[in-house]
Amino acid sequence: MCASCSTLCTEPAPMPRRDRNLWFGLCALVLVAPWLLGGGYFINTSNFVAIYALPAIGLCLLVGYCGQLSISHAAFFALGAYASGILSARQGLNPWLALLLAQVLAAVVAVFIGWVVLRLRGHYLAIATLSFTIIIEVLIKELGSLTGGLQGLSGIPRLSLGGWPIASDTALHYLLWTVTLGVLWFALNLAHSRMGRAYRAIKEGDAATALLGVDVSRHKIEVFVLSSLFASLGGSLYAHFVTFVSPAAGSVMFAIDIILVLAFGGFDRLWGAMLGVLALTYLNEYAVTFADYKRVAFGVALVVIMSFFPTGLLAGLVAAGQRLWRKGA
Amino acid sequence: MLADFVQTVFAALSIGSMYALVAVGVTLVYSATRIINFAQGEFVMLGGMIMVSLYGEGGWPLWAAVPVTLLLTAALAALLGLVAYRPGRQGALISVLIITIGASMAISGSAFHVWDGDVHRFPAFSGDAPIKFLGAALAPQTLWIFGAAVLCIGALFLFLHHSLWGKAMRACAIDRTAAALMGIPVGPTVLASFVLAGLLGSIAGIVITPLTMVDYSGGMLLAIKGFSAAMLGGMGNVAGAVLGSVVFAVLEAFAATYLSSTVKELITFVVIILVLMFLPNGLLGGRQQRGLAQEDTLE
Repeated sequence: MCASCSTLCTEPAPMPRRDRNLWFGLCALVLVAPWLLGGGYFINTSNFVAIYALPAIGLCLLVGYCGQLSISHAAFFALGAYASGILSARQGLNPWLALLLAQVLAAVVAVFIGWVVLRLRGHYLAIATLSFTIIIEVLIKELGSLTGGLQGLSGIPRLSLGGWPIASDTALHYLLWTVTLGVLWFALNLAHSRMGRAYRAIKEGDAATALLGVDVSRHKIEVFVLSSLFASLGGSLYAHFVTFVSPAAGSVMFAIDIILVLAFGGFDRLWGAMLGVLALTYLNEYAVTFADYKRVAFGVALVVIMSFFPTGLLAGLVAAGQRLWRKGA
Repeated sequence: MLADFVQTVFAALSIGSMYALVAVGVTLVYSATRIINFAQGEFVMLGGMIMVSLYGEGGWPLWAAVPVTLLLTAALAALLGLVAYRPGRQGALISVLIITIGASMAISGSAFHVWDGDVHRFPAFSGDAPIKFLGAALAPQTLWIFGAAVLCIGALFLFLHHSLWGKAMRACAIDRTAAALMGIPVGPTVLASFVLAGLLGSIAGIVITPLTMVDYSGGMLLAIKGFSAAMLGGMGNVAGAVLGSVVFAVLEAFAATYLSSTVKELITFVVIILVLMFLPNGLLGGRQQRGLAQEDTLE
């Protein structure tokens, strides 16, 4: 990580004013949200938005910026959640320490997996990462004595501050959104830094990028590890927030849900990913009658969106709107 | 000891035949379009489910139920081909991959509503009385499965190598532009590959369901295993797909008998990652071009 830090520091990242303003706007919104939403159920759902935003931001960097499709974010989410849960609930570690150790573990696994699979491209990368997700899913279900198996792992302690557990929805709201806003700020900066430019160059073509003197495989592993870490951080926060994890957190279905978020918001748009998470989380929570048809509806949505807006629904609509606007003016 | 061994070989025989039918379908579509069809396993599921309704519960005779089942799945496969493959689409590997994932979810979700979430089966074609052989019990259905796989893949092989249509399909797989210039209708040929793949999957579902049973959600995992097998043998290569399926089936069957069923589930996916690492072109793919997937984009 040190090499990448120095790249980040020596190259002041010129984040566009629009992104910065949007980010401050989101901060303000988060600040007043508990009053606006009146606490309770709405706030609770908004906390899930903050958590699911983390793997989505990670996947956005990896797929949208670097062009590497990975179906392993659910696996890293589950890894973070279960590592945090097992260390704190079973080993009795302080939740903060458990959370930190979970990220270290996830980083080690991500470096290894990244090193193994990132020499593959396209379909082959997708299948290798999908295999990893299935391996993790099987392990979670089978290692019952460690993970609680199909019943899941319960009794995970909440994070606490000065001896007081953070339990109220409002307190959790501020905690979770602080983390998510921080990660988003980091990701926005990264996207416009020298590294972000390198990622986009890799997306356009490995060989040409290598020719320009960019260390392609190092950058790929870097962005893979970062992106997986965002997912595992989301998982750890989820574990301490819900105080329970089930194998569904590491399922292929959840991995596809995260991809669906990007298909909705736009693969190379961080703000699109945020909107996608917001829309899909509330859709999932409130359309209860819709739950029965979720599989069909999401499947059809994926087919239709990808057929007509291959860069993502919102991104595609915005682009179409801009074309119309220019034609009118 | 010997009985265990023979029993395991029988298990490998039926699993391997099913994987081979799926894997050959995957490879056919891949050759023609460079699309990895995540929905391939849904044809197996549909083949089984439609037969449950027609033959198992509807009481149709076999000679009527099978053709209708094949017809329905072939129609769906053609529809999928029309949706997933569009000749003019540029650089859209990820979006096509996601389209087939979406199609798989849509098909399995619809199956849940048409049928239900339960596990189904219908009676085996020649009864359930096992044939004793060297102390092991062979379900007669295993012979049906093996026979269907050999017959179908053999017929496909003859079709690809000795008929004009088959040669056209192979030409398209090698170079689509050149094939079009030679007057081969590329669009219909691509569609034919989807239909053939759908038929193979459906046949697998029809013969395997009496042994393994079927539910709405099993398709995705089967598709993943099918193209893992295809990849193991070398993508785009029918013989390779069969070889890969045999290797997987033997590994899984022996792991299940002599180790545990957990290990069996893990072995497939560990092997996939290892093969991708060390033999990215598969067992029969040769080693000349490392890092396959040069075709990151569709033409």
